[in-house]
Amino acid sequence: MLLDLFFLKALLAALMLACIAGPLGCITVWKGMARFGETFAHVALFGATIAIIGGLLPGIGMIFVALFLAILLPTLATHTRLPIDSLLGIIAPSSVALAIILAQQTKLAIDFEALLFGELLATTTSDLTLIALGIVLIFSMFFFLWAPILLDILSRDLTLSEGIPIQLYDIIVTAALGFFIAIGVRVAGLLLINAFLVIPASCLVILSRHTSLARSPERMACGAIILNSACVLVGLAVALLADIPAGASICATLFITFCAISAFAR
Amino acid sequence: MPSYTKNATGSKRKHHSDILLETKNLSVVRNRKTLLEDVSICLRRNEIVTLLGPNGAGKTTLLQALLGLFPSKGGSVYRAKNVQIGYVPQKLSPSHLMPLSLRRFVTLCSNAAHESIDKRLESLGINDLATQQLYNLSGGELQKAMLARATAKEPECLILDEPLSGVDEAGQKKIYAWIEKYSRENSCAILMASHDLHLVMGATDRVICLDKRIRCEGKPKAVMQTQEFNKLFGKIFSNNRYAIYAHEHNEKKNEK
Repeated sequence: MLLDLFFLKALLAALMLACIAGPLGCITVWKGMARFGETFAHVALFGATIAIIGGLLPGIGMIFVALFLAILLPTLATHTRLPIDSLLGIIAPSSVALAIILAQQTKLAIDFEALLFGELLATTTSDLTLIALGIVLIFSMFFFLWAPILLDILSRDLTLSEGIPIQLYDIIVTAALGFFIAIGVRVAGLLLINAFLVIPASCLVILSRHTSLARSPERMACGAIILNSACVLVGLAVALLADIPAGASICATLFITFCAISAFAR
Repeated sequence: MPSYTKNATGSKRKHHSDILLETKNLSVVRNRKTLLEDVSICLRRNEIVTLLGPNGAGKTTLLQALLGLFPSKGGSVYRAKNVQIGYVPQKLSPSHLMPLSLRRFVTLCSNAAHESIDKRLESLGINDLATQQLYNLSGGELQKAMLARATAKEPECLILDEPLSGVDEAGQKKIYAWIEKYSRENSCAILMASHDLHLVMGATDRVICLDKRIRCEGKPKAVMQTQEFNKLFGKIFSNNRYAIYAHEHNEKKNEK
């Protein structure tokens, strides 16, 4: 019974993360921001380390550092005139290096492996509450900003000419991505959280080209939610039956789905 | 729509009620390169103005400044209060990753009425393409989609940045005729950038030749005879229609 409760919490956490990741992943892929997820996950590691040293909950540090980065990135890009892609490539390894040095200097025993790979079956009620809060916040963002974001993907000039404060929206979207990764990385781990974002959205891009299943951005986002959720269910079932780590099992299921869809589309 | 008014000098100038858009002594320097120097232009109600200049003359920069896409530091930009502007950027690059139908694009972030949108799609002849994916459309069809979007809200003026780029000659004439007709029927002022003289339509009230600075300005025929104009565009641009076509061929060859 106790195991059942653990399992139920893991299932709920994974399903909620899968729901957020559907539309968020689509935006990430459309905007060519797939590297953002990876960087945020690395930066989250640094945030967690600082928080632990300061005697705070790791989650708080992750969220703050992610939000800070969301605001810092556009400023840094304007200042250095370097592409965001390069900046992410600078920030990701540097933040991990800093985290390792800080942990070593303060003689903290931080379980980096747990932070990287997550502990889905150790999901707590507070994790669930935080993820539920994430659903509310991020879906409210979609409600208000969805159309301007789509227009911006087509033309920044057109969006600006209509008086839409797109630079501000950009920061909000980046912050939402950072927030999602900060709340998800502890539970699902760096690997799964990025797989959640990128794999279903990419599957739906392929499907939208070859079938009439996902012919609008909204259908594509819904499709990504369905695909993510189905993979969570299958992945967790396999994990339970074959006794393999839950996160890896879901990740592998997502990958197999991607392979199947790519093969079908050819 | 923002009613954005900027006046760098801070003085409250009285604007003629007919003026929709205006720049005064506008200079733009970016990356230590002067893009615009001391440019003063205006667009009045119901007027069709063509902005002519070679590539790199600062036409797009000037249009963007008028739209308020970037803060202007030197000089001032004025826009009439609550003026509705329809904007057609030079290029739209639909993402191959995002499925979006033509109709959805036209209605995106727009509060235009459905009848108005249907009317535009119909008159531009792209009604049949409404459910097509944006990334499957040709250059001309995309330009028409952008025109439909810009005009659906029935703006008081249209800013068109080379609206005929990527359109073949037969298509250009049709779109031109459409813009002209639209402007007349809806009393819509038009400011249009072009780098090609033979595209200056008969309906143009005023031609402004730009090459970082304003070189000459006036009625199309009068402007063509000025020395400044010939210096800017060379002898290939004469009143001779044949010469104009020859120029077009040259350019196509260069592009290849």
